[in-house]
Amino acid sequence: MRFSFSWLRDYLETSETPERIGEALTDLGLEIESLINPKTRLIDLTVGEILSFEKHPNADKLKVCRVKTSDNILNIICGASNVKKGMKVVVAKPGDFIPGLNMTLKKSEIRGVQSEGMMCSERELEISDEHDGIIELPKGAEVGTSYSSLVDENKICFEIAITPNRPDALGVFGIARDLAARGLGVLKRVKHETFKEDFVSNLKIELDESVKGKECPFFVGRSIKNVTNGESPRWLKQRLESIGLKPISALVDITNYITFDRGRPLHVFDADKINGDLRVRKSFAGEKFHALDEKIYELDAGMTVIVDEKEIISLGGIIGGLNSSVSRETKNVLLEAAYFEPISIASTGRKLKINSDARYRFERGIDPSFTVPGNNIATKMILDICGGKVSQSIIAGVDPKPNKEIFFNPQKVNNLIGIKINLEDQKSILTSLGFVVDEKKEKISVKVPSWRPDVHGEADLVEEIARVSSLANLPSTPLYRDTPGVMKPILTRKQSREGLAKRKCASLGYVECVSYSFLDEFASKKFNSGKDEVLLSNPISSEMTNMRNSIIPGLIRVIERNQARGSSDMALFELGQCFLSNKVGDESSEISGVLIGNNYTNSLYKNTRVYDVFDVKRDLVELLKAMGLNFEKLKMSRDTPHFLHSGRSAKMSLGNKCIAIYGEISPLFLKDFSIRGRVNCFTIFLENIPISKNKKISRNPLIINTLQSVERDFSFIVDQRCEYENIKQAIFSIKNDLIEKVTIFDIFSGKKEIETEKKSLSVRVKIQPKTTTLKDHEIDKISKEIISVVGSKVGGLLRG
Amino acid sequence: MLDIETINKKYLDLIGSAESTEKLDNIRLNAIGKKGEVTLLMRSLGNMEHQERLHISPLLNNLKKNIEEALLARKENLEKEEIKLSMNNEWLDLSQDSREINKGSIHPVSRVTEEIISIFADLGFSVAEGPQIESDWYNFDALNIPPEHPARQEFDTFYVDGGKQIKEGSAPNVLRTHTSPVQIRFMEENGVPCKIIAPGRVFRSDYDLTHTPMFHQVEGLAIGEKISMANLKWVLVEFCKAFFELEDLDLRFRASHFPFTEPSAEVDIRCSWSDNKLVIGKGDDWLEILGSGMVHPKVLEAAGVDSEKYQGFAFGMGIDRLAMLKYGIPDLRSFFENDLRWLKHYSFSPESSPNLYDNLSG
Repeated sequence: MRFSFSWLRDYLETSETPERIGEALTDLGLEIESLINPKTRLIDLTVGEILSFEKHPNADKLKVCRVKTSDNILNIICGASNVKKGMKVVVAKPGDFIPGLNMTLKKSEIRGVQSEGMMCSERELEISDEHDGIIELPKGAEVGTSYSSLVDENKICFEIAITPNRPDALGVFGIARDLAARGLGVLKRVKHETFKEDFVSNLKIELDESVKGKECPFFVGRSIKNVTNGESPRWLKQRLESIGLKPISALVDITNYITFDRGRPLHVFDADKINGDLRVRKSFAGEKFHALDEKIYELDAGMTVIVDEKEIISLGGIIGGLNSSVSRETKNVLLEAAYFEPISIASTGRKLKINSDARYRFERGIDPSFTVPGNNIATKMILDICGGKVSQSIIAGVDPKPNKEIFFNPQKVNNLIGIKINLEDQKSILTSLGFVVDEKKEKISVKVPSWRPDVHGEADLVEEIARVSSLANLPSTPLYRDTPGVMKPILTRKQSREGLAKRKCASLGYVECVSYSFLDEFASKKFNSGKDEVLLSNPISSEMTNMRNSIIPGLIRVIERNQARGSSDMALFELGQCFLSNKVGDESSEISGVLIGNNYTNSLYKNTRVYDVFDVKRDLVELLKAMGLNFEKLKMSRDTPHFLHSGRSAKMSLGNKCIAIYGEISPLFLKDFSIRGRVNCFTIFLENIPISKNKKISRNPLIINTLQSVERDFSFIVDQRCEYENIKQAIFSIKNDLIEKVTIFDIFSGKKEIETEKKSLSVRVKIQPKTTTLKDHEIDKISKEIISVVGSKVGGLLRG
Repeated sequence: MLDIETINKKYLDLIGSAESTEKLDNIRLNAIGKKGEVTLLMRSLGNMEHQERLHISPLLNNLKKNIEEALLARKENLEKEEIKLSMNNEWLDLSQDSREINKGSIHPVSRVTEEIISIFADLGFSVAEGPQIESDWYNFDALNIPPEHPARQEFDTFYVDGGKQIKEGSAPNVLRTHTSPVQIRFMEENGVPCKIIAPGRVFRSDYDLTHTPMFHQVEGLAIGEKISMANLKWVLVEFCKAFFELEDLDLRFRASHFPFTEPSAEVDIRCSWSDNKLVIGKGDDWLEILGSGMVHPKVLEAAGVDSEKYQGFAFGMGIDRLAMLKYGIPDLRSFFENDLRWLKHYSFSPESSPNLYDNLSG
């Protein structure tokens, strides 16, 4: 909402500066977005007088002027055509800032002649776009005085943000009312407009049953005959121009003016273009409407329209029709002031995507009781400016007079805000905002003015009192922790586990990423293994059409972008929500990591190699251990999602819950992305990790066995695709509790002594005696058992 | 007659002039090895007469001991010499790069979220969460934003495609536009009084210099019988002092409007700009940091709370924005681009997690 200082002063008698008013508006909840005040910006510029001028010796279009200023006479070169002797002008001296040119003026030489200053145009001072000549000040302007004292107050412009609850502040009068309540001036009384009604119109206006008492409860029309729709008077044009509106013709300008002046949208029809009587009804599906914006809209059923006997002439409260619009030739008009219900306006406006000043106000809720006065104000202005003869008003429906009453406990202000404001001040604030206060016993009765549809209950009144008296004085009252003594942990186990997972992952060398939860359709489809895609109905870009179903595709895109920027070795992770369907709560908390490139970039120490699947396996195991999972209890299987390399990926489950997947991303799959190199990755499904109910703090006692352990190595010839895990399980299946640990330490194939399709796999078995040192034959017995069980369960032959 | 003295001298001389541990070992073998001169002499004691043996035996023992001691002393000397010698050849260019270590890091959003949690935990707030795909009711209606209300349009909501399941006319689910729905969910589930914060991702269809379609918010909610806006101010001042590590600071409350609070206030923090750098805490300027207010009675009722008995405050702050202000990170959009150069520069080491007893800031 924009308005000028002088417009505000139509309603507010004040001696405050625009800056003070700006601060107050922000504090009142009408936040200033900009305040353009040429007065403060142009404070250095002064009034000068052109004593004489002559043609520039070396340029036809330039003049060399002798200009009298406060302290001396300057030679100023100027190209303006309106230069004349004795003219009062705005002079900028070297060192002054010229906002329109965004420069500080310096002495300069123009075609061989010194220029000691500048005479300014409005555009150079950012007052208007006017640049045809330099500013001519009134004759009486005194040389040497500051120009700022002469700036037209129409040029001081406020722009404020109006929150959707304040339709009353969408007119300058409402803003003045707030400022007056704050004590920054006195609200000027607005006199009731009176005029003589010349005739009774025979035009009939009918409200259809479908809208009566609902979407359009009240309609006030008036016929005005013999108007002259010329140019608006200067003051009116200035008002509109000051807020960036282009004057069109008197009739249009008057309705625009009242929209911004009183927050009251109106419409003027050319009465000669209306066919017969008017009806307000709901539209039928598929009806066409040719609007003022020259577009043809196809309407849904149930939109509120004004029709004559031929066609729709207005989309009530949103936009008028083209065919019945006024022009310079218009002689007879019908003036409409109606009340339309906000919800239907909002829904129609949104469906048809029409943004108008009228819709903006109606959907927020204009003052329903201002229908008749609005019509009267417009009628009077039309009479004053366009002349003509006025009919009696044509009324349809019933004047809606909201009559809300709130019983208010004045103590509530202190309870809710914590500021003590005495009853008298509370009453005075409410009264100055137009509330009618009536004291009754412990609670007072407060009648809400018709222009405040946002005020429903006590809390709203507290807000009014608080904002007018200012929240800047809000005291600060301690709110200590309820629990006495030492602070207790507040994170849930799930929350603390997520924090732990992040820190662990980072300490394993991974860089945390935070990506958008969106994915492009391609990546989403590629990674989706048969689940429903979660799509947005209104994506913001083609790269953000889907909700991610896994974190890995996002990380793949991160690798792509960073490889394009020249990085090659990366360890990245992210923790966040993934979306399994479009239903609320169907989300999964996951942490994924990716590795690509070499483990070290510098090969100086000969420890550099390409990351492989056992790097991610190590990190995954470390993470799971950090989260308290007993890795040994996990079941490993090879049924992994399609985007993982079938020979180099695995799944870890606990019962029927998938805890994690890891492996190399299928190179075939990666061909569709711009990735150089192989990517290994893991994902942990955090919610599938059980949270033990009892937190165990104390440790089991440490038992150190003093008996020397024995290690025995075995090399087995097994099938090429035999898993070590099976050999290990076989050895532990002996159920001899002296067998403490099995580790794999060598694996090879392809040598002469080993047939193809076979490999040699060597394990070291640690045997830990418990009570007495083992004799050789006891160890031999265990060895034989091991060889036998690996033979029977896995088909492994001891290598000779 | 044995000249023990001569033998003694011979070996001590040899030992003294031995140039390497190898040579020394040969001397040892020649003297006291299995077939060494001294060993053989000692072995010959058995053939001697008793008297003679009594006389010679201690002398031989002494001889052996002398040689052994000399060998040991010389050996130690030689070893030291050898170490010295090899050290002379051991020289490294210590200016060369050390072995690498792969350092991981924590993203500013995670770090700052933890900082915020640490502070509010000390103030007695716990942490609540809610879904990111949210129903229209929780995201809007329950928060006193009815359908068709102009306030709804200000949220730039993303709608989730309902597919075939959603019936004509029923509102589609949305990506939550704020963390405020967690207020409703928490109170429904746990009742009041309560003090919670709810950090998390939120989504709005907006992308320009200062907006990204996804960002992070932290919601605050404190409900009791007497909790007032003045308490809100204290909590926020205490939070900001701890978060920005300032001894003192000024917050300015300005009246505003949010459908879910009444009265509502926007809160500015005092600041100044010097050399294009923002200084938080002092100066003549104000910077908006959050929106807040007293929870609207309708919101309490939507969550099943008696609004006659209970009241309290709520606030919402941008986590990314707090991170930018505190750590001087210029561009919001860069937070989610995951450019490794940016991450290396602005992220945090995982070793220090924020805490109030030692150090909050990274």
